[in-house]
Amino acid sequence: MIPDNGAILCCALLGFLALALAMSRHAKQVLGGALPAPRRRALRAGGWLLLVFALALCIRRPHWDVGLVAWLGWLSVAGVAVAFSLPYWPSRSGRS
Amino acid sequence: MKEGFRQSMAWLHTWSGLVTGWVLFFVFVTGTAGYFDDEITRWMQPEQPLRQAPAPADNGRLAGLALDQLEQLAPGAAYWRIVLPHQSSNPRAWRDFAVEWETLPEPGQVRGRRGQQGLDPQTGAHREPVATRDTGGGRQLYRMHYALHYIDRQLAYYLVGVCTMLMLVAIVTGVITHKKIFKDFFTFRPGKGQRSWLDAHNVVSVMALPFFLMITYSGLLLFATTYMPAGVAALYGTGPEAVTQFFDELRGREAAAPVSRPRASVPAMIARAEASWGEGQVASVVVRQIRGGEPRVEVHRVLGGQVRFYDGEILRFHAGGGEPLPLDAPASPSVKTNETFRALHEGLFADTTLRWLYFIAGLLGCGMIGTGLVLWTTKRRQRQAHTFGFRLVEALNVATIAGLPAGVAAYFWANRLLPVDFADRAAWEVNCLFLIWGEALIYAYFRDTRKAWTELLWLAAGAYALLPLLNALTTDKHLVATLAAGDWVLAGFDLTVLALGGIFAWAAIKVGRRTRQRRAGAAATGTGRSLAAEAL
Repeated sequence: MIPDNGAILCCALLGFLALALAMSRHAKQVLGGALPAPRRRALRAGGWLLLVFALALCIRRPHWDVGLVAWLGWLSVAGVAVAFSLPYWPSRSGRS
Repeated sequence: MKEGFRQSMAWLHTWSGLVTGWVLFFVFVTGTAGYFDDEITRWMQPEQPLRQAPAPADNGRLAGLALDQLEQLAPGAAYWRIVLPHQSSNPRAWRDFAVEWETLPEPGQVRGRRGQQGLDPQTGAHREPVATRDTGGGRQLYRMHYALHYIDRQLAYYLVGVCTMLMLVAIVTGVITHKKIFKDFFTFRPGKGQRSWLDAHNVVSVMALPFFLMITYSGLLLFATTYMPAGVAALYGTGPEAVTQFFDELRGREAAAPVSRPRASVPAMIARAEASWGEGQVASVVVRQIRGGEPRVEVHRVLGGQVRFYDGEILRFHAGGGEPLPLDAPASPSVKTNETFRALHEGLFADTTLRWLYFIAGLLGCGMIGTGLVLWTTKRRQRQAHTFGFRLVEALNVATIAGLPAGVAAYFWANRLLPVDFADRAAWEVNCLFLIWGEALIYAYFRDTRKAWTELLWLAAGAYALLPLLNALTTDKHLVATLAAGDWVLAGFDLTVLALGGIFAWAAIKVGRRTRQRRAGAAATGTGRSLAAEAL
């Protein structure tokens, strides 16, 4: 149960992080500059895939309906964590 | 036209959120605590023993002992229920061996009297419950989130209903008002005053939007027949009896015939259920007979697992011959939909992890309301700081966001400090909550706002952080003992209040630092600009 939940949280965090980095504002914050379009597209696709993978992990338990509720819960936690930590990310551009 | 629409929605969002904000904050604080109501109740009854490893029980033998007792205690009752020892999820606690019953209604009555008795698993004799102090427990907190306190229950339902409806309005208009919901999805810019508050309000609101929509809408549905009584009144008439009849029909409750001891073997039925569900999965056995129907024995599985919590698994047998009987037809889609929303709201199906997610989502709700309330004042401070309305809003904000949590902590303090034989003890526990909240309001009104913020946040921090210490001084169920015993319900309570204390201390430090920065900045520039800007 605990490894499962850890994996779900990691997927949700990384998924949201990838989606954020695909946006130029947050790429500047974290990486110091916006990424080229192909990399952005890849990040966006990867982010969505990770979120879907988290959903898959959630609903493979005996009751898929409970898994769906849990997925939304994990997404809320991960989304808030990513959004509030982005400005404090050690930035390569030297500006925090 | 488009701009006009968005502006009018923004107006609606601001004012529907403001006028209901403090009530909703109270509802969210007490409702969030309600996700751990049974755990809180256990903490507030320190006389209860620490968690023990349950001894394996022979359920068939227990059923025989229970039937002997029920024949004595409640002959000819409307139903008998044998509670077998199991880990229950409503209430979330270990349930010991017990019997429950309801007598047939007396002439002129709609319902019979209910009774219950704990039984000794060895002898079947009456087992005295552990004597506990008089306390409202977590149930009291939970109950207040829809029934408030000190006022008539029906009036409270309406008040909370109006606030909930306005919250739904605020959520929908908030989404419309939020111009760049996807572009600003992860945007939080700290240290920028009003801008930061708006970002924080947006992030919290958007990230947990599914929970907020669900909890608000389902909260309204739970009281649908209270808020919209015309449908029931038109078909069933008015008055308590009509409402009872409506719910009886809705829940398939039919007139009962007096029960008697089943002739078929109940242990054999339990064995059959255990064979298909597994050991420890049988929660209870119910003996009943619908008037004009066959006598039945129903074996109930421990509830939980699926979202539709109350839709538990049952095996039904003929009490005379012991042969399996078919179950009732499944509920209609509308009843199922209603039950699903109710289950999503209450979260009774949630295991420990999911319960924590519910709890966090509830805290995010407090965050959404709190940031929204603060935002109202930061936007208007420059222009209106001297008006009575502004002062009132500001005082209510400080008193509710910092003072109410301190009041909830006071509820726990009162539980440990009021003498056990204190008259109306449970009522005074709650009085302490409201006394602290009320005093916080008076204090916040007359004190400089920034100082009031820092001081009340420190009060809340101290009140939570010191609770484990108070617990250790007044009971033997302190953190060391509960951790050593692996009693995670009691240890979890102490650890959670410690964490809450930490959060309030962090907030207090942040507000205090910002206050000093502003003061220093104002002194350096020599401007007389209002210090009372964006505190947190």
